[in-house]
Amino acid sequence: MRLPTYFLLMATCLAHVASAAAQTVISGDIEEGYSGAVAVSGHVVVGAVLGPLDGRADPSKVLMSLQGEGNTSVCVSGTTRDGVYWTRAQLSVPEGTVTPIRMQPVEGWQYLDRVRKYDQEDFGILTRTGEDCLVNREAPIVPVSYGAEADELSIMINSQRAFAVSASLQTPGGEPVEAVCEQSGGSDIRSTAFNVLCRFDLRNYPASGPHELVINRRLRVGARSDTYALLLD
Amino acid sequence: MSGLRLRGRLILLHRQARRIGKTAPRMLSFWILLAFLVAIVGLATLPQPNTLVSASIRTETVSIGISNPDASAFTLPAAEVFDGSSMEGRCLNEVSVFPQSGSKLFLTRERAGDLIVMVDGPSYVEAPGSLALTESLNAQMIVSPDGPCAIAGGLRLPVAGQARIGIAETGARSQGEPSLVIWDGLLTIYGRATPTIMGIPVEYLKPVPMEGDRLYRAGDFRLPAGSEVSSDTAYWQGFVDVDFETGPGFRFEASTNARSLDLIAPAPRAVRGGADATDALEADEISMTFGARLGNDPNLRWFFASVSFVLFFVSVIFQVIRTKDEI
Repeated sequence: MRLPTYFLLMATCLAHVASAAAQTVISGDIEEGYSGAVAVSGHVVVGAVLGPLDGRADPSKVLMSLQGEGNTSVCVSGTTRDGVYWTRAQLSVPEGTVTPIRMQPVEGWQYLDRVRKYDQEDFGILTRTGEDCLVNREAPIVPVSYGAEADELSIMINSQRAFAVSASLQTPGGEPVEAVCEQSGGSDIRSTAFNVLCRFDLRNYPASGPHELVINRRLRVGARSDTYALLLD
Repeated sequence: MSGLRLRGRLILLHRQARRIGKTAPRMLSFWILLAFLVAIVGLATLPQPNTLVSASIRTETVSIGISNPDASAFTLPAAEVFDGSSMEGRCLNEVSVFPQSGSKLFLTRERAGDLIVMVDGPSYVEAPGSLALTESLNAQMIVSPDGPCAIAGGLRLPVAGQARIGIAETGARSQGEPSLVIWDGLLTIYGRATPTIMGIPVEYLKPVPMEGDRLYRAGDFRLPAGSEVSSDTAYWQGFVDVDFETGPGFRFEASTNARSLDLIAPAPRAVRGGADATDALEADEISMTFGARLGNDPNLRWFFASVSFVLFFVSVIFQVIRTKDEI
């Protein structure tokens, strides 16, 4: 092995170990389900993920970066595009916890092998913060990541009843950034949990702090615009 | 002399019969095998099924992709008309709508409510005496049996294009959003009798009375409530019938020559496993099954009846010869 290749490999391994060491694993009661009879979330925003989605879905590798002081309550909900698999949890993150955080069910993940068959694009995972984040739809969204560079933000949207969807991201008072949205799959793809993927290019965007995520939908019964608070690390 | 000749022939015939009698079981097996092969070749060389699917569905929503603007134009007796930019509607009579190619027409009526007609894309809207022919982007019209723009009786609108019927959904929905579902529906699948068997046009297979491309009924398919029917290739032709006296929704009455349709039922497909199987992401397929074709195509019925008859006839002959030989 040539010396530069050796150093490159060493550096990669060290970086991996370092990043792994910087993570905190939080165990908790994480509900999971894998069944055709499971009702999926009817939320409009079903997932918010930083970084490119080019691998396999894996809730055990999802990283959450949290801001704020004191104990933080985090609500996580994930679902596959077809609604067959879902996971839900409310976790308490103690003050001083090193982020990013990985979640781990007390009894281990039950359906990892099945979820890993889905592409990351077909798995929406959404994290919100706040004490009442399970029921409060206005609780701020904190995008998760799979550890890759956060130069892209993907929003999974459930727009079954809308025929046109657009999304924009902006800091309060700032210039909005428009997303490129695509209705995934043809008529032969089952998209009952979410069906639209909107991607924001964050390469030239000062992406940190509180943002507003605006989802505009043209429904079959009229137009609708929803605004969500979104926190970027 | 002639008596001797006749006797000689009879002896020869008797010897031949004895020889055939001895080989009869083998010959019979040969004929059965041949008939089986003919049947297999006949099935293997069948052309693709030519189908017609007729749909009668009570649904709350349908979207129709416009590819033939002339066949998709319609007139509403009265409607509250919104153009793409205005939030205020105008009450107009005799509103003619001409959706343009590439646009999508959405018809929605939740339960027994108003009918909402939306065009996603360009269309022309005209109301004699009130609105000159105007190009409109994302026009919206509300048709109601009540209020200032009320219409009396029902409404019939054309269906000509790719249609997506109903919206499959599970779980809770967002506040203020209607759930737009198929309530019930029946797909009747017809086939057209095969025009060729083993590459031979059925008209040449006389005296068997076969006729190619005759319509036959292959079966019915009742749609699960809450499902969604669509296809990237099906071109539907028919109409939507809105009766404001009855609900929910309206009736979608149309037919298509598509070979298959996609069905997304409320319950997803069971996942069978496999290395990368995500079967539940896939829709179910409704199509003419091989069994339905085999059992219902009149030409195939004649074909199998003919093969069976020949087989039966041959086996009877061999049986007779064998019995005679044993005697």
